Amino acid sequence: MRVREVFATRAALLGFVGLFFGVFAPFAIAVALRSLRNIHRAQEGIVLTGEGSAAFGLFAGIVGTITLVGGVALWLVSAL
Amino acid sequence: MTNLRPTLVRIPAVLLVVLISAISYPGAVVVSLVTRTAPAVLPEGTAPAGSLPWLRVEHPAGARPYIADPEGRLVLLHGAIPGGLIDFWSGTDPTKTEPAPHYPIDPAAYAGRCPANSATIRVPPLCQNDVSEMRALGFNVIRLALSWSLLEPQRGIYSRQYLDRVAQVVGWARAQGLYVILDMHQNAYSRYVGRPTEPPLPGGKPPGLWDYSGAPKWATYTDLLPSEVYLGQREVNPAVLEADSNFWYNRAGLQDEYIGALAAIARRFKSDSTVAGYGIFNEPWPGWNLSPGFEDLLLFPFYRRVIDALTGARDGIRCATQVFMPAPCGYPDLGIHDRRHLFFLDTGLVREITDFPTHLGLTLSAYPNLVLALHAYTHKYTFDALAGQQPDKASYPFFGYEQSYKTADLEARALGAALFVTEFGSETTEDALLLRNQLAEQEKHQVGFTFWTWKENCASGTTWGIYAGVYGDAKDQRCAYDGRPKETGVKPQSGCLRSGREALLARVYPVAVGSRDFTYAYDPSTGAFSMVGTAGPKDPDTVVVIPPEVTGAAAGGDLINAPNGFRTLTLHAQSGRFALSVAAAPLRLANCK
Repeated sequence: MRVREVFATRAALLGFVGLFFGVFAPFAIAVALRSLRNIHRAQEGIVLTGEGSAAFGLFAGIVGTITLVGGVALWLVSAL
Repeated sequence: MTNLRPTLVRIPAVLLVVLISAISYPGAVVVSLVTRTAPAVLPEGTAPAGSLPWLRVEHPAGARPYIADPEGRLVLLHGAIPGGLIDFWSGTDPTKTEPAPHYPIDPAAYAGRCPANSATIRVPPLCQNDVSEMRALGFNVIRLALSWSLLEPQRGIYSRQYLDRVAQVVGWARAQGLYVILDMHQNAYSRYVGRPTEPPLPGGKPPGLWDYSGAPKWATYTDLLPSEVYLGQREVNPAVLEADSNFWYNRAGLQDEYIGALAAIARRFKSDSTVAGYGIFNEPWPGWNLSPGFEDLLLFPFYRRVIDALTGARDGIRCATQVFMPAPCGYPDLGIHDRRHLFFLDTGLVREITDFPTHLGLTLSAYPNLVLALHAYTHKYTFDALAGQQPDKASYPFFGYEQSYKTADLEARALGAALFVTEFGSETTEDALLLRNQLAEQEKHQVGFTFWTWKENCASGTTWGIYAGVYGDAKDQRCAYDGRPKETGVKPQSGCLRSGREALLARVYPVAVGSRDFTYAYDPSTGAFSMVGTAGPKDPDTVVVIPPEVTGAAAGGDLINAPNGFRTLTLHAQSGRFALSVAAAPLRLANCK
């Protein structure tokens, strides 16, 4: 049976938004990791789909978080 | 095959992330980093001779950049904003939404005379006497507010006559020794956003088009959304939100046209040192977009593109024009290479509400002559004021007037820009609190100002001008279109110079400072001034200007009396501590009745 993992879409959405509003990016990582864990630990006979969405959320979350931290650090270095 | 599945799933995910990153914050930050390490874009050749010294932005190590003259002295600019070249709506019938420009554009109409004023428009015409009156108050700059709708009334066709009119005012300023900031002004996008033909939706009100200005009709895309004002704020209007958004998304190449209009100005004034620089976009409103993304991904990248186009800086990456341009995009060099003028970059309009940075604001351009343009309306448009709190009992900003200036100082440093207050103002009833405190903050942070507004005919409340409006001290200051009987007759150009404003704004201040270690303060209630600091033997002269209103004895430098009643106090090269002062004495105000 193929079922879509419930957090996968949420991870992708948070990852996407996190690239435009960095504060969402860390949440994308957390939700994506949870989604991927669920997918890989699915019960026998059940195939959880949504790995692509979760992976997108994870990568986007990582990039967004790095950008957020790096951007703020750069601002502080420039401003202070 | 099963082992390959995660990889096959993740490759497209990674590619998609890379693609979206390129047009969002990661791309913007990378471009900023590259810009930060790029060599500064310097002027080509020698500066054309000008009657006023060319201004530039000096970048001292470890300190905020500042506006400087060719000797490297910090230059303080004090001035006002006349509205006579703004394309305001006018008339007595609000249902007539698209009247022709009210005042003549032909400079001949202002040669040795001044067109008739009228209470059917909120501002008087700008005439030669205005510039000499500004000079008489000790001002050394005019922020000349312009309208895109008059500059480019038809798409792709720039009005030579309007540029001639601008040049006329610049000429008047040159004759008086004033700099001019050419400000591409707008409020609520355009006066062509329209009015509802049906009764407004619940909560909405028909907009008062008399204070809308900016884009021409052909550049105003409201997509049939209703033009109705909500929350009593002219910008909270669906038609305005849509029109602004379409501009920021470069729909139909609107930004390209706007850049073209700025390029027309730059071509005309490239060699004119009287023009201090260009205000790229007044009070940018985000439309449907949210901070911080609006500023970091739309507004400031737009500023970069303007700078690229006019200076040839080539900071952003090459992108197609005439379509939406993501944040990393630069703009083609338009071949003007205007590398002597300052670019005044307004913060997003939301900052006027927060008195706090609304975005990241990283290095923008390798062009060094950037000025962060602050609009300081603490207790006027900040959260507390919108919530109806009185200024003297307000619970916001948490750190008072200082909050906006201190954070703006940091913003300017992060951006690599000087800081300047391009707007502040209020009703006269609030002068003792708002205006006085704003001026004190500006002295503390050593930034200049242009005051909104120079003269204003009439208003729904009290006029904000340095001069009284056409109804003088009358209780009813409303314009002919705003409930007053339809008075359309000729009116005087203004009422009296307001004594309270004269006392506060005709200040003793250092126009050029050779030292970098100094503080100064002027007390408008006593006329006393003091400036202390440390000078080096090679520091250029420091010059303090004393307007005729201030009568106290000056000390600490060479005093020169000018025939026009002004005095200048000059500190020549010396080592060690210095002190310049003007003693307290009664002010000699015009006392216009």
